[in-house]
Amino acid sequence: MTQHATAVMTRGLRKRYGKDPALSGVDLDVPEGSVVLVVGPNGAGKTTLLKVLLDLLPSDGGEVQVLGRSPAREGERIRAGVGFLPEKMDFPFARMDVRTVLEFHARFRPTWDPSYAEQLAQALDLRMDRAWEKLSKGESRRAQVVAALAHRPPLLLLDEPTDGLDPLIRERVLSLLAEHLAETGATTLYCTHVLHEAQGMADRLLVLRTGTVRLDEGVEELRRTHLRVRLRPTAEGATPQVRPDFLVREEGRTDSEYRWVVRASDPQVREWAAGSGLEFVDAEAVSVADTALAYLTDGGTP
Amino acid sequence: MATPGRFHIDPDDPRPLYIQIMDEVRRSIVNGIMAPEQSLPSVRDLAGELRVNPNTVQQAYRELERDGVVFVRRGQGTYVSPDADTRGIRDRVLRELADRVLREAARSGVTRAELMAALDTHDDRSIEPSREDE
Repeated sequence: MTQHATAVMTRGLRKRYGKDPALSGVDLDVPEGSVVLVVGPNGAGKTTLLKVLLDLLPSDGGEVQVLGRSPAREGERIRAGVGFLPEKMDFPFARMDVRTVLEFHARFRPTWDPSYAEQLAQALDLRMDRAWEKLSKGESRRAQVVAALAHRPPLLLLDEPTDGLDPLIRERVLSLLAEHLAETGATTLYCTHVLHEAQGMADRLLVLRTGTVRLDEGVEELRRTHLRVRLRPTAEGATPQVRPDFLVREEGRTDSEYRWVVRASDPQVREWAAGSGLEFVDAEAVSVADTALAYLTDGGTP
Repeated sequence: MATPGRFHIDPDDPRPLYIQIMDEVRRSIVNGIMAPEQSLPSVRDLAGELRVNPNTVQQAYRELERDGVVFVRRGQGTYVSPDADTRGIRDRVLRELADRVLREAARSGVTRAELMAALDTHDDRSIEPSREDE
């Protein structure tokens, strides 16, 4: 493995809303240039994490570094160098047209490239002369995509980037993002519930649950270490009462077959099955989306 | 510019995406869509077309170069090798196809012999012409 610089680092990061913990000690190292798929149930802390990284919310403890800077001390500089696509964007200048809003946005971003902004807007069928308050949900999403990318920031924080877009524009946003990454190599935190659509973009997977990191690993590593196996109870074999440690998720179970996502090698599962009265049927690799799903729904510990 | 739809990949397919891209390039050489000396789409264009991480496309091209299927002209792009081992590429495509068919057969509880027999007696006319043949 080559040693990468770290674009985002957190240690023991904590944040509560009143009594409700949103982040409960998050340790994170995001290698420079990686695209991290951030998944988690609603309320897992994804949006809170992004906001703390940008100092849009103060943390309650722990350490944070974004592009080598501390958000609490240099929030403004971090925000100027990050492409942030928020989940919701309330704009106080609703009467302005899209072009004016983007020009205002550009003033705080010295690397803004107006011709790239035009190019993105055109690719997304976004009309620059529309009043911001008249935009549909999908149109304002497209305007936000332009706002997040046109200064070619070294770090992208994307919160549900395709939310509210029609299928055609969704594809176009993903294409533009892939091309953008090819040109800029930007580090990307990509929060989404739409796993199947986003999985091809990821080289890391981060699963957050109840404010803690459940999984943070490279996609290649996950592919090497996880399998989907099918097992069959033998006639004389009893149903195993013990959950093996390597079981991440039971995807399906009938009387005649169990389908499991496991963190184990083929021989490991075979050996366990033989000792547990189960017949090993077959094993196959697991897609990124299904791995994410397995860690979203698992009950046990790894 | 990349021709849209030249390559087809499936992120839900458990094979790694870079392997799928490699297979697609080999397949397009075997069925004549891509000829020797022809340029492949740029990494940027293909990543955009397939909506995948550009590093994945880069990795596929790198491995194809190592296998002698493509070569890189510095500063210009990636091209199908003029002396690509078409026999070998064809074998690879066949092996990959056999892999998939056999895996599917196993999943369906069908034996290899049954599958072979079904292939022998299969009426080709019932298969619709593939769009790639146009």
